[in-house]
Amino acid sequence: MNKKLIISGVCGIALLLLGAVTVENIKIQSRTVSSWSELLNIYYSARKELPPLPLQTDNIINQIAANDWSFLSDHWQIRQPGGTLYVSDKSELAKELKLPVRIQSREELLPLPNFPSIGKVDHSFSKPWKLSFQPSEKMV
Amino acid sequence: MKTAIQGKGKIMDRKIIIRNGFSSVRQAFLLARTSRALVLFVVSFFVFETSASLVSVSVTGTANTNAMGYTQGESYTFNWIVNDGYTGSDGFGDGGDVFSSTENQWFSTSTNDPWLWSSVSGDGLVGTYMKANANDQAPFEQLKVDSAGLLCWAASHTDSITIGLFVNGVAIDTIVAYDLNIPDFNYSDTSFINPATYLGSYTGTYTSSGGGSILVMRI
Repeated sequence: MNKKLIISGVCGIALLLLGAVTVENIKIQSRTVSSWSELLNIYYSARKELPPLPLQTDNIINQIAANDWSFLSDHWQIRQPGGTLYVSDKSELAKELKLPVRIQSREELLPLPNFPSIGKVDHSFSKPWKLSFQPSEKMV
Repeated sequence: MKTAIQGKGKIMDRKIIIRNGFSSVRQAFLLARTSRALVLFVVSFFVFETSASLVSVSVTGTANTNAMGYTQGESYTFNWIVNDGYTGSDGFGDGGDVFSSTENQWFSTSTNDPWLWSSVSGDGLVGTYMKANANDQAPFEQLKVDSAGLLCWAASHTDSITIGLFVNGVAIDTIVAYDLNIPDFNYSDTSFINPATYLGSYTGTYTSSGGGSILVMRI
């Protein structure tokens, strides 16, 4: 199979054999860090590209008041794989970490200043929030 | 927020948990009741391994057809991580590296050549990338910058030889992104330059100005 020929002239038949994607953006980034600050820079850079959380917030207050926690769904979180990073051998970070290591971070995103009082609410709900660690999760 | 992450990191059984605020929704909503703050979560994972200076090229685009499990109109991202230990091609097979006034090309097409890509991955891809090594004709790894833009190519040049990756249960032998236009690329090096060093000077996110494609081909 002459792959150069295929690339130079993608035709209908070829499209049946392959997945074709039209490029929208390209990112070139270093995958090596030497310090926690470099890691954080990568983390915050990735955060800027996250889409908004697809929340249905209109009726949340009433639901909480009614002890209805059904709105707690996967839509209340974004799981963002950070990919595999590499640690410079001679860095202080390399001395601190026993590699390989997996890092998981969780953070709150958005305080809403006008969230009204919700009164007396029983916070014990039957579906505890789970952000379980998935060893098989694709990392890159 | 940054300070909180730095301050609360701790090592737990080889897994570093960096917690910023709340370990559960219950905690979050307890706070919500008292401080009128609604708390949402972002979860992020990083895996660390040792190396020197790796650089990745991530390309995102929209599928223009339904094929191999990809859905037309959906967005997909593919990644090529450069092996910073690449020391050059011996020129066997389809040729080797070229550094001239018109192109920079790193071209690993021999089993004697070091891997050009330490990893290739992406949406829908399952498995671990492995440079084709069944015979001397099989490897086909190319990174090229010229007037057409950037090209990242990982493939087997021999039919029926896999590169360790599968899509929708089917082995693939090619994943290539080409005509990636990045402004101000200088590709006029006339002697070998480490590919990671080269790309490292262009770190950033670029929007395609038209053109640019990714092909994933099955065996």
